[in-house]
Amino acid sequence: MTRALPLLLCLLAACVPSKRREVYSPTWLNSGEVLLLGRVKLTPPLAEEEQALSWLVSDWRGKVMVIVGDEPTPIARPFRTSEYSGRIEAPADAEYSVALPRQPFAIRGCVVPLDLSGPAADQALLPGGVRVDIRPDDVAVYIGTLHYRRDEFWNITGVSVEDDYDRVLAECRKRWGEPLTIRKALVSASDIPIRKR
Amino acid sequence: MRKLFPAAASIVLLAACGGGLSRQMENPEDPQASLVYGYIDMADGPCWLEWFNMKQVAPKVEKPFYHFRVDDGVFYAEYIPIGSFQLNEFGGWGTFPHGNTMYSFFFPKQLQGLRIEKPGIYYIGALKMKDEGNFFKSKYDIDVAEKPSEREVLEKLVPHAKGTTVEARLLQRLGELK
Repeated sequence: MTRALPLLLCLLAACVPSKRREVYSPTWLNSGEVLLLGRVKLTPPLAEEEQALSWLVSDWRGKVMVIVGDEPTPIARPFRTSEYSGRIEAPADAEYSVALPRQPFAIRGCVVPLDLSGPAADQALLPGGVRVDIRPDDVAVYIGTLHYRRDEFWNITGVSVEDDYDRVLAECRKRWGEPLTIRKALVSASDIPIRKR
Repeated sequence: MRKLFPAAASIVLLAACGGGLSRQMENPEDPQASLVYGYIDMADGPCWLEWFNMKQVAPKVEKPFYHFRVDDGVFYAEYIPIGSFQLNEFGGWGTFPHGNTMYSFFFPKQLQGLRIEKPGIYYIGALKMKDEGNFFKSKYDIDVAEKPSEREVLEKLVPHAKGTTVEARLLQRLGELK
């Protein structure tokens, strides 16, 4: 049993779909990739007691999963675990910096894992459905802060896109140590539908 | 008679497991308390309704769960304070052919909840459990039901409020529904 345990843990870990690779500089990019910068903010912020997560996904605490795809098909219930595949793991209210294929894509929506501690998964689905324009000569692209406002029942009451480009550019140049350009390509909040329930 | 006693005792013990709350309402200690009630049709479910609870999400409190009294599909609680509540969980013990299994069903947290801003009586509505499984896999869902009406639910509640301050409010509401 002791010998089988590492294998069992590896098999269980393999059940968690893969995420987008986090990169902190354009020098980390592979050929045909672009560095994507952005942020997801929740108001009120995600509280620790709002999430019940098993040890397998304990590092998802405090994160919002950005679900990307080729088309802006909105995410919907039932949300299958396999749909987490290729997600951007965005720490709530902090910049994410990930590598994506250098081609246009869509943000289908965001998911906040609320209960992944038992057989019945529960998550809050945040609206999306916006296209992100990536050009062939892009190295790094900033898409803005996607700011969701919610009530106590996870109804989304407002969505806006905030522009922190100057701050992000200054921080990146300080970190990267070279005057690389980040193209600003803010997503459009007006394309995100808010469904009143 | 000796053989009957253990069987009778186990039935009494099982009956006492039904959430531990009697069906009889009491005078609420909190003058700001509200009566919240609703109905779940479990005919297509694996069990009968034996417990139901809500979770207070605002304002934050140390003990956020409120357990309801239950009678034949009707759930009710006369001691709900002012605040915002999510429907949290309901369930019961399995009946034939589902065996002696505990069934708990959780509502999604991203669901319209109940916001109580002033004391009163609040009807959550009638819900119906749906069996969407097959021979190999059990699967259940819940949906809004047209029946029973609020009036029918209230009529089941009134006997349990007899002699309490809640009774008058229930009768007044029944009068409004005529």
